[in-house]
Amino acid sequence: MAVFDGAAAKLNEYLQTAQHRSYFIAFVTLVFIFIMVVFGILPAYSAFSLQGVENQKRADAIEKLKKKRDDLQKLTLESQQKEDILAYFDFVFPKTPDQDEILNQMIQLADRSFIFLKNINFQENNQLQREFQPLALDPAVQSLSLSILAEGSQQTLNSFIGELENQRKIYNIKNFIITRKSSQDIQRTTPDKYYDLNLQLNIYYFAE
Amino acid sequence: MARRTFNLLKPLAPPKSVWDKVYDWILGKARVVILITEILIALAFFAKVVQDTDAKNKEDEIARLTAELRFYADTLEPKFRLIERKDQNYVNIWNLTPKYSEVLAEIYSYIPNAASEINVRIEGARVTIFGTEDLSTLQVLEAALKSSGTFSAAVIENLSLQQQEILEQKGDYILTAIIKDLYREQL
Repeated sequence: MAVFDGAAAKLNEYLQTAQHRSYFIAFVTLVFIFIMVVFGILPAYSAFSLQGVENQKRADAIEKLKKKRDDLQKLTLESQQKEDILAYFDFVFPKTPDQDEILNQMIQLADRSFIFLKNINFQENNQLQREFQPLALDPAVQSLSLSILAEGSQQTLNSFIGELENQRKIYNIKNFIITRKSSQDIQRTTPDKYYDLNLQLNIYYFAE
Repeated sequence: MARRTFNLLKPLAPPKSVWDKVYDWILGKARVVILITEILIALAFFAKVVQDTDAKNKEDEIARLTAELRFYADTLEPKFRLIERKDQNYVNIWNLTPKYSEVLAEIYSYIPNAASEINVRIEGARVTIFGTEDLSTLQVLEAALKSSGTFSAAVIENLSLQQQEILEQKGDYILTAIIKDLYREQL
């Protein structure tokens, strides 16, 4: 108590002058403001701002979920409206290679180009992943190789190659050779069969 | 009769103690600080209430959307992802598939004689034209391939002439060239 009285007396003595009084009041006010800021304003602001951050995260999550929902709704609607296109896509990039269907299409293309098919041979394509390096295809992509022997004229054989290239089903021509028949063979045949075509191509399917 | 006295002087207050001064200060300058602090805390409190309500509404919205998406996740989403995968692979294969018919038509356009013994082999970007041909026609073919924008590195790799062929101005040849733009129009 004596210590306190002594301190109070010293403080009273210090506050005798107006200048000291104003210094003291400024100091005490600043300390008080500091205490209010630290124990009052900052905790309130911190709780408010933290909640704001959390709410922003929730708002972002809602935005993403809404976008995903809208995309899926749009895709659902689009897939219903474009069922025929999806069916066609399944045809051009099927789950399994339908050899009958491929043969039928080759015959159709040959008829349309006025060439004469002599032989069609199917083989497993083991070079698929190497074929598209450095691009990595999905493991579900599979491939078959076709060897086609045909005869025709320069124009009709070229037309057949053009027909193959214009199909939406991918016929990836790997190599071909067009050779003119020997003089003896030419004498025995008609001008629309003067040339032989030996063509290798790959077809692709997506084994889901 | 008692004597009446009037003190007309302003009464003098006793000197203020420390506590009096602190009391004055609390009712004076500190009151402003306390008031401002209380206003700020009250504002923060109301803002927190608003934010808590907002947070609850958002949680409800997230729960509703998640339930809605669960329906798609099990049924439709795998289907769409599969279509997307298929489409991406189809586009990749398509874009790396060559187109030869125009190249072949161009080569044939350089050989006016339909009876020419011309054979064409194409493997990847490499074109090989070979056969037996009149030397002047061969020169025309080589010049055409060299000046064409479709090909590069057009060269006669081999030319062999037999005695009879020299007399007929004919020879066996192998001519090669590289197709510059191999791939079809990209998707």
